[in-house]
Amino acid sequence: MTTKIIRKTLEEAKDLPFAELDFSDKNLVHLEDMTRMWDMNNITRLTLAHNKLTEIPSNIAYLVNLEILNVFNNDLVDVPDLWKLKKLRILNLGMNQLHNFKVPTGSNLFPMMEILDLSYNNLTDETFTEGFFTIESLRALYLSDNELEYLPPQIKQLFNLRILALRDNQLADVPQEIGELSNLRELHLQGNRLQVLPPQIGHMDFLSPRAILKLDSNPWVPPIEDQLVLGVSHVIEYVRSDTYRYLFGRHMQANVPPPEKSERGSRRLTRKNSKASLNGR
Amino acid sequence: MSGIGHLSLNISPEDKPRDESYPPEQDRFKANNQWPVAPRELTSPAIVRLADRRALLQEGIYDVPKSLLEEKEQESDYDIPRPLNIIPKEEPQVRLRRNKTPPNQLNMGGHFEDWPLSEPTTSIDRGESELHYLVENTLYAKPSVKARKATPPEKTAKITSDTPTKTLYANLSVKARKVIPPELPPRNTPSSPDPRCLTPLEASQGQTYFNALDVQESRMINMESISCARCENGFEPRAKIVNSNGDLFHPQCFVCAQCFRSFPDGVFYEFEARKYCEHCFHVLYAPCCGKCGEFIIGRVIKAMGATWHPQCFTCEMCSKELADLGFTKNQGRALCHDCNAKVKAQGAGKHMCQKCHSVIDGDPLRFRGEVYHPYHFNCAGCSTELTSTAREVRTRPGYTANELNELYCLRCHDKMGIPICGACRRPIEERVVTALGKHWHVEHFVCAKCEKPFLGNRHYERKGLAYCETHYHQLFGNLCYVCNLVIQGDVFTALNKAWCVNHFACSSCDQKMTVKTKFYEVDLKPVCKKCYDKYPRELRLRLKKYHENEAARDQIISPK
Repeated sequence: MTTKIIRKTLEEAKDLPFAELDFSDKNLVHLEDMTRMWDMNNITRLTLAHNKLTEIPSNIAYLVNLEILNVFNNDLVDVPDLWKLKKLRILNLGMNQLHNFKVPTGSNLFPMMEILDLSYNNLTDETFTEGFFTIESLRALYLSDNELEYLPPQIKQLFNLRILALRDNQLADVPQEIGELSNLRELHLQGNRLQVLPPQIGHMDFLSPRAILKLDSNPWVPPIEDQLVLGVSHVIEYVRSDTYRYLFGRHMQANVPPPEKSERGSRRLTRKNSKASLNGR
Repeated sequence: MSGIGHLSLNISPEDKPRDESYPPEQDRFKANNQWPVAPRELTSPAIVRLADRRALLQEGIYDVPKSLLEEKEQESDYDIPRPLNIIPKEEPQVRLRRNKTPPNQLNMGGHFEDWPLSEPTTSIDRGESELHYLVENTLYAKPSVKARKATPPEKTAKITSDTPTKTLYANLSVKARKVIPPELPPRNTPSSPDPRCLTPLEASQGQTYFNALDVQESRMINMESISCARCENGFEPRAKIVNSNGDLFHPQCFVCAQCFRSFPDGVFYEFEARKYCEHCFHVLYAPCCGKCGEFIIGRVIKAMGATWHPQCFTCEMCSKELADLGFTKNQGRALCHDCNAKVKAQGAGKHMCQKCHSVIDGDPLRFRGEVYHPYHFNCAGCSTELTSTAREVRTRPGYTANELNELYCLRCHDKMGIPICGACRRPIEERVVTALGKHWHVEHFVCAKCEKPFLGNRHYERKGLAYCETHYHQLFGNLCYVCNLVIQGDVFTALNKAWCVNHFACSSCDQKMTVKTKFYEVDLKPVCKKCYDKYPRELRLRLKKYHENEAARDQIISPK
């Protein structure tokens, strides 16, 4: 049944100039039935969300006009050489098992990449290779629901970044270089182990109505926590003050150890029991 | 002024014959005690006070020989111009002094030379030393037509008949003229010494021809005692005798010393006891103009190491005649003082005031295309003295001519209702753009982000600033979250983002959504209900908790 639908869809899309293929929630385990798809270089979007794919064949590199690839909520443990897809703009790899996702070092990777979603993947700090920060065209980076503990200062190289989501990680620290991301308009920092914010945050444009800063559920030092209760804008104002600058300096000197990692090891397990998994079966 | 002198001369036999071919000068002057007065020539080198010189030039008189002046004291009958200050010819001080003065000092100080202090009435004593009189004037004489006509033979005869007892010979009308020895060394006359150092001799003119017989008949002269002043031979009876200032010549002896031809129209120049026709005299002694190369007859300008016609010695920048203005030597150029100041100001990177012609040290005031010291002008409105902030107002906007422009101080200018550009704060005289409640120069009404002028293109206003279309959308969010392009047509706005209508979709499954589609928010991404239900339960719980927290806080902050 599913195979028939896939065949029909592919047949229909064969002659379209800008084909957008949607195979989401088709219970796919592998893509072996779709060998003819790799010849269709008219495909601009391929959505494979909510399936059970464990791998993507390297043939995907033939889809040279692919702009959007969505493999959300699958069982991928690794991705092939997607870097060769020069036109890829939006890549959604959220909700997979890419603990070892690594961007290789090299130039001109993902030259067009704009939105990269790696949420819910049990990513660790090893994800942040040198190559990761060479994707300069990136304007939205979603890294929520991972196991990141440390955000490298090289984040400043992604100067086009407008959205950075780091919700529910293990971050103990935000580098002050984040202040150099002058285009940043959305920063999600909820559910981490942050105690202080770099004063540079105060000089970013987070007071404008189009900018959003989310800071909930962190073990903030009491002055920040007090301001957060009143609203994010109060935190910004406070972080700008000399008082805070002094406090921040003291805090960094004291080298206060971050709180213990919260226990989230059961996340995978939880997911197995989730409705999504049930539906997928 | 043009009178004919009457000569009454008694020549006693013991006076003649003379042992010299030419009588001594003094004798001749005594003899010719009556002089027609115009025109006069200038002894040289002679420097006359400037005012006097000008007066003389207006009258058409050049100068008066010194010896004439001496004579004039006694002869009150004749209308002779007032005494002029003439430096004695024997004093070459002027020239010497000039040689001592380094040229640089001349340029800087503007003083060309001191007048000889031995002369009590020199310009320096009259307080005229501020005149930068740099031109050395000399005159080179030219016989005038008037002089020639002054001795018509008929007239002579008539006078003779009127006064037969008093006059031995026919009346002699003598044009005594001091020939200026020219400044240039005489050419073709190696034997003659430098004429400058010598007493100029007179060029005489007006000779009378008469017959030796007539002379005998008059019984006043012994034919034996007279001889030709040149060849010293006697005269044949009835031979023609030429009388020139009392000297008698054979007609064939009365010729140019250079070309041996008779003098055209009887005009000759006498110099160093030789008589020259006009042409030969010019060729030998007349200075040549450094510009046009012609002989200089009359006023000679000596400057920049050459001689010039007054009309040929001009400023090299503005071509003004420099003879009476004075000049400054600037890098080998003769410039008038104005041009020199201009050049100097340009060299210093400064402007020169067009009113007082001095350098402007501060900010200049520009007015009708020129620069001035601001303090020369007053505000056309309130009459206060202006500063460099004054504004030139075009009284007829749109006209290019600026003769009608007026100057206003800043305060008066602001009151005049001329729109002021909101960017540069200067008045707008051309097209005015009115936007954001202000006026702008067309080229100053620019995008607040890229600063490119709109030049009539659409602009987008936000919070008192104007933006071009691209930057307005880029800055204020109307770029589609998916395609990152400016949204054409309807805009879906949600979760701090905007979408093209066609691009609004679930971020998890890429399913298109409409305004009516219910969706959830995850990290400010839209997620359709179907996908959200597939999210792990623990994640949904956490997300729910965040939402509740934020909602609770919003409740506290704005209890409405």
